[in-house]
Amino acid sequence: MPQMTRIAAFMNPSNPGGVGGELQAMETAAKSLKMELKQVLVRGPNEFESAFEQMQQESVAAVAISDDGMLIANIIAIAALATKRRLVSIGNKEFAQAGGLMGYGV
Amino acid sequence: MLIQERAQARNVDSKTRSVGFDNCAFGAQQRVLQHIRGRTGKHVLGLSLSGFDPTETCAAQDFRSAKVLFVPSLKRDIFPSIACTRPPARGSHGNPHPTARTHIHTWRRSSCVAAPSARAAAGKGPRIGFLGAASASGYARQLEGFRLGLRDLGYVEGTNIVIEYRWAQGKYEHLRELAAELIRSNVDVIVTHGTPGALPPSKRTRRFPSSWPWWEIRSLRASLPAWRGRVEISPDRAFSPRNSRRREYSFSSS
Repeated sequence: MPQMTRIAAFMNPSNPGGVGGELQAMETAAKSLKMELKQVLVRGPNEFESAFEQMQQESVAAVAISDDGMLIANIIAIAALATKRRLVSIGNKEFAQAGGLMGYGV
Repeated sequence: MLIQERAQARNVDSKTRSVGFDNCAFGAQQRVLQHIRGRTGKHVLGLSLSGFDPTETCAAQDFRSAKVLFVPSLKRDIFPSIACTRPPARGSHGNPHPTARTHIHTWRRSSCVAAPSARAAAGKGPRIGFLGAASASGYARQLEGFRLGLRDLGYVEGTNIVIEYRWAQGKYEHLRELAAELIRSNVDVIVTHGTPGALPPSKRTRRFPSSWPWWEIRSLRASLPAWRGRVEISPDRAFSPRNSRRREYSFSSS
């Protein structure tokens, strides 16, 4: 998607692995690609719907789902929401298996 | 976890002899590994479902120095698989579809090779404490992989191995308390997943050594005999059905 300018990082703020190292690395990468990276922080499944709503309102072109226990446990719901909103999405392998657009990892 | 000898430490917590978690390639876990090893001499169990090759990343040092790297489901493609992908060679474009599995280097104590059958008669066995950050239903698939991996090694839950589960239900602030519970019940090893499960205690909890023992036990390291053996296993060889009971590791000095 060459015209993509705004992307989102879908993360659980309770997980210091995601909002720490992972987010920093993503920000660096986004900067070099001249993209704007939005943080979408969700603490539980009840916040998924509004998070996707927010991404659509902010014209986010694509979303990357972070590797987090809570998110993995609810990966089917997340994949369904991304599909429903027709949002380009990437996550871990489980995400693709659950119906998400793309997955990466072992 | 399969250590036959019992560390003769007074602290009840020292009976939890190993600590394990996945994603060893990430910084936070790496630091925890270093700390556990450096401060306590605990046997460290490393599991990884990351896409990094432990022999080539910054985590390699930890893998190399881990006393025990127990990989229950090497051949499984789900947690806690340690099947790693090799990162692209420097200067090349790399393979966008990393599937090549690489050798896993494992350092373990010879005494770790316990005979599952010996304990089977008693209907008991080593006890694993599973510290789950999410929920049993959300991790059903991964748990199944874990059990299948154990089965490959001759361990059947409820028959010759016991798994105690504690789930934080996505509320990571409960993890410490749950870990303390597992430790109090004297499990042989704690297996957890993700960064929250493997995080070190805060300064505040450090004052309560009973909740996170590996920070406080200073004497254990001295009580463990020096181990310099090294095992290299290739997943294909070591985990083929024929060798599934894996008694045939060869040891070489490192």
